[in-house]
Amino acid sequence: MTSKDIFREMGGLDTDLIMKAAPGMPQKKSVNKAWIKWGVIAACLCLVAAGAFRIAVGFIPSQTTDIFREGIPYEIDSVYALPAKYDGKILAQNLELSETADIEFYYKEGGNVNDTDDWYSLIIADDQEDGKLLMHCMFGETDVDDWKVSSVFTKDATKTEVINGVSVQIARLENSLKYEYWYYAIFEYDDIVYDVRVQSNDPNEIYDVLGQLLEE
Amino acid sequence: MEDKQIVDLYWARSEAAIVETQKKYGRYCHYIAYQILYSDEDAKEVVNDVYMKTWNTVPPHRPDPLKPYVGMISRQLALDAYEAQHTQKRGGQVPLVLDELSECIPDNANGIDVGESLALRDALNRFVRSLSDRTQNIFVRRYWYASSITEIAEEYSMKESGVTVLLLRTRKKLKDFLDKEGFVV
Repeated sequence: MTSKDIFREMGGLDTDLIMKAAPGMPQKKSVNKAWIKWGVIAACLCLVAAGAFRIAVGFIPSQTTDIFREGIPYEIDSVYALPAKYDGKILAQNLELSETADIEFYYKEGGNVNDTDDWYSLIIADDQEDGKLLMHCMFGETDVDDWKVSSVFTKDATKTEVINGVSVQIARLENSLKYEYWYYAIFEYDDIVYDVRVQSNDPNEIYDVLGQLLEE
Repeated sequence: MEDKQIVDLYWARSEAAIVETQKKYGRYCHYIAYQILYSDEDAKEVVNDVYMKTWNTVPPHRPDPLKPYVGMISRQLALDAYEAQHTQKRGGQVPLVLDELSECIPDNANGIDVGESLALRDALNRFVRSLSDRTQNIFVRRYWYASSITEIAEEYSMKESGVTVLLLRTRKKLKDFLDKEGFVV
């Protein structure tokens, strides 16, 4: 048996698996009950945001610091399984995640997983009913300005919002297949830099996620 | 036009079936063939053969949906063409994909028989279904569609290194899985 046999027999995968992985397959959409809760806030904010998103179209993100090459991956089933450090202020705990969310926690090589000084990042990827959600939490020693400059934001694409007292930068990126936009939000809270992304055509959705994260 | 209507045209032996298939899935079939053959001309030839093979197999088949049916034919024909031309060195994703998959199983010159082929197919289906939704899609994009890491990273808004690490870890899981299933001697 060779790798060619595996590649060839991959051809016999079930049709539903082939269909949903097809290039440019749009995400299924549905109404999220949380929209109602945050609808009023989002509606107000999106009026302001709409102007900024117009100038955001067309900018390209550059490669960011490679958070995957450093750190030891530590798979966890739930953000609640993280050690109760940071005074319980890891905002990811406020998110409504699906049961199939991928949650990966990274800590520094040679470090102790229970020591917050050794924490590197938390990465959440969730195919929610209402679209894709990606979130990176960078613990300590991360300069939010560096992250902003080196990642998705260019100077003329930056839009700052203050949500529940936290300054958040938001932008929109058109994906290459033109089906949906990615909305990005980057902010710092309790020495953790959050990079949140939602795939959607609806700018309200990033505000909904920010509402969940930064709820008072 | 809905897939069912297109299939009805095939059953009615109307050549409009091919025109409609081309309109709806021509680009999709070309993408699959091109990823394997890395040649626009060769991919176009394969896509023409896809229409012919679909014409010859519908009926008796009544595929629903039609998209994965023509996609699978395109992949199969492109792989046949790839193997037929393989004496000449060429670029594209397939050599990379094969190299990656070789980590999952020690290469063995012995071919596999029909029984092993079916067992492997079944095992691969069970393995892919055991993955999370996002990992399933990325794994299938790489090893079914032979999409490039760059393209996957762009579509899933990930860094290329993120895709590479995710695939590396998934191949390790596949190796362990195939080992447990008795495919690795």
